[in-house]
Amino acid sequence: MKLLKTIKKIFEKNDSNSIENIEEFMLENNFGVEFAENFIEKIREERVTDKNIEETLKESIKNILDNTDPKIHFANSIPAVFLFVGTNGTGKTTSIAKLAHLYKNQGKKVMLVAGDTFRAAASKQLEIWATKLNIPIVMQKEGSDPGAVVFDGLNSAVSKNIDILLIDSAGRVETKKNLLKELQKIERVIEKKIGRKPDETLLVLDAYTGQNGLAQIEIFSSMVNISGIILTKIDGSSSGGIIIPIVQKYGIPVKFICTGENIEDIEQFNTEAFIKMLSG
Amino acid sequence: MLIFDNLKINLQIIFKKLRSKGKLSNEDIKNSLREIRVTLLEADVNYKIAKEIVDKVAEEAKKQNIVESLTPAEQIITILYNEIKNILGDASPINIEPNKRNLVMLAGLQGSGKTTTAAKLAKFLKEQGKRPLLIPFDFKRPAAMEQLIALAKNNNLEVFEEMTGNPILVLKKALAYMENNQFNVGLIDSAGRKEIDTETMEELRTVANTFTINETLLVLDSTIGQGALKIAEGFEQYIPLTGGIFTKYDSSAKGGSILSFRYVTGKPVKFIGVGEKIDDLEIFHPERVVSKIVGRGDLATLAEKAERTISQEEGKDLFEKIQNDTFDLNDYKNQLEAIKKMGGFSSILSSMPVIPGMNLNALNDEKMLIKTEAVINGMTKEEKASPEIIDGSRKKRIAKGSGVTNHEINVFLKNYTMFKKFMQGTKNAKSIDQILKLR
Repeated sequence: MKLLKTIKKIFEKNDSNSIENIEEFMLENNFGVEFAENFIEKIREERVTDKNIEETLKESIKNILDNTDPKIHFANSIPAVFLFVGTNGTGKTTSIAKLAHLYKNQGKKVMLVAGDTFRAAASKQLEIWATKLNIPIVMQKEGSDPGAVVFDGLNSAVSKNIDILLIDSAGRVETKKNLLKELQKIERVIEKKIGRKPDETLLVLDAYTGQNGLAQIEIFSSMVNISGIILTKIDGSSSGGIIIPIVQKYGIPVKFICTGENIEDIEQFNTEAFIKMLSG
Repeated sequence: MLIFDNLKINLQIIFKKLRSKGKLSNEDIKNSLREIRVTLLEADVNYKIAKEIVDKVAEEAKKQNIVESLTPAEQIITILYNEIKNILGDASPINIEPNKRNLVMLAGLQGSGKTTTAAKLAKFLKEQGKRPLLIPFDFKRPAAMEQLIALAKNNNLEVFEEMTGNPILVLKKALAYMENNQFNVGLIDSAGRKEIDTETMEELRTVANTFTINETLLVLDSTIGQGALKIAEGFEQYIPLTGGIFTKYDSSAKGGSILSFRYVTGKPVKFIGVGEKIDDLEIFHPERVVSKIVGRGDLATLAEKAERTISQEEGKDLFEKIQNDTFDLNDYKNQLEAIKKMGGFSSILSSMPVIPGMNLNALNDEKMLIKTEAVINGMTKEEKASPEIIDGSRKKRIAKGSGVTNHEINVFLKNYTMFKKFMQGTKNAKSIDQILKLR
């Protein structure tokens, strides 16, 4: 992930193809054509030199990311309710386990809701985590109505004075309108019970995702109130660059990033740290 | 849902622009190449491959003297079609040898859909008369084994349930179990891993080296971006891949990662995952993907899907009606019902060519389908058989009787006309292959 350094190197070589190469590096990291073209236009207009090219790119990225607020939203009353949504296989269940671990270590009373009643053994997967982390979980049998599980979870959380309720949901691709409507129903169940939408509705996005990430955000956020993104599976081979055009276009902040397979590998998003990681 | 479809639409826009201008300058060609490149990139085609495709299209365009051509758009589309097709290669069936013990291993990143795919593949092979045994081989993800076992139980598939001890030992036991119980295909569902994680990749290599495996298939998510190239490279370094399976092909991702996989490995994509149900696995046909890219729709997939849902007799009947021009509203209603059976319009839309003038979005709406049925039920026998007699006053009556507006009746009739026209457009082609073939 020595992206910025590599770009700089190319620029220093100063061959006639350097601008094209820079564009390609941005493309390779899924920044998207639009961002890449705008950046190139900018360096041409501003007569950016070899010396400040790295700073210019960093600044452009920083400006986009700083335009949103990554703060985690907690209401004044408990429980805080976080709903996790996204396409299949992005890491919703694992992210929930990581966050549960994080908040539990901060002394919060955390509870899980196994809202994925569709995928075989999804509840089991979350239950194993709940047992490992020694926190309560509300679940029903496979195939039950997810709205009903969520309703149970909310009741249980209220009666047990839970601080944070983390609700899993089944993965769904953005083209399945009926399944997206099911999410709206879950949102309504929550709103009815706590008198407000979930404090956080987090879209879990795989860092490998290409330009389809834009469609995911656009369609999910048109159906439910997406308040932030959790970027998962970030590492040396996946930069999560797609968040740059996403944040630029939709203004939805990235709130957490997951950087590894261990339970503690989750952190709150921080622009400086993210850019530092890109710089390698 | 429409893999490559935006690419198709974008190209159509580009070439419409070109077409309306009459004769072309070299600058026009350059601009169109630039737009092709952008479109390929937006479809997640790796930038290296996009560059190569564009360079080849440019070279060929020059050779064919496109500037002088009266049909430059068609010519460029054909060149592009051929270049992409070259990369995609030919369709290739899964390699299962009869009267022998076969092993198929699924490998890939976390969350790519290996476990679901393993169950789908087992179902597919079972329907072909094979005796598949699912072998859970993911000792890492919590409940991964439970997931495969549950999938097997729910779908009446066989699964190897002994799974403690050293992985190699478990596999040896599974092989003995296959031997004793006459299973001829073992499907190994390996744990998700990153291609840069040398430790777990070495483990995979050990498995590949210890056993004779017929098919080692890389399972990749269609929504993957530029990184697909490196992922395929990484896996190829450790294990001898024989093919790929692309999941979530029903998402709106444009699937340029398929080109990356082919480009790096040279191995065929064998299947695509097109939904969450156990039957949602399809054989991958490269021609169909290319056909979509250049705007020819995916008739073959549609026909195959229809074949599975509609009985042969019904199909023959429909074909005759189209031939004889007697396709009426009753048939239209039957078609809509069949479409519903096939998983609704959204699943079919991805395989449909664009039907000019037909408002497919209206049909995609479940409510609209119900309304359409109500409208047809509200018609007399004569009206159903010869819709052309439906005039203003008849429309009013039908609207009142079926609880829809006059406007909706008009949209409905227009859709029927367009659908009929489209069906007739296909009637002169002797076979689906011919429809798909380029000029």
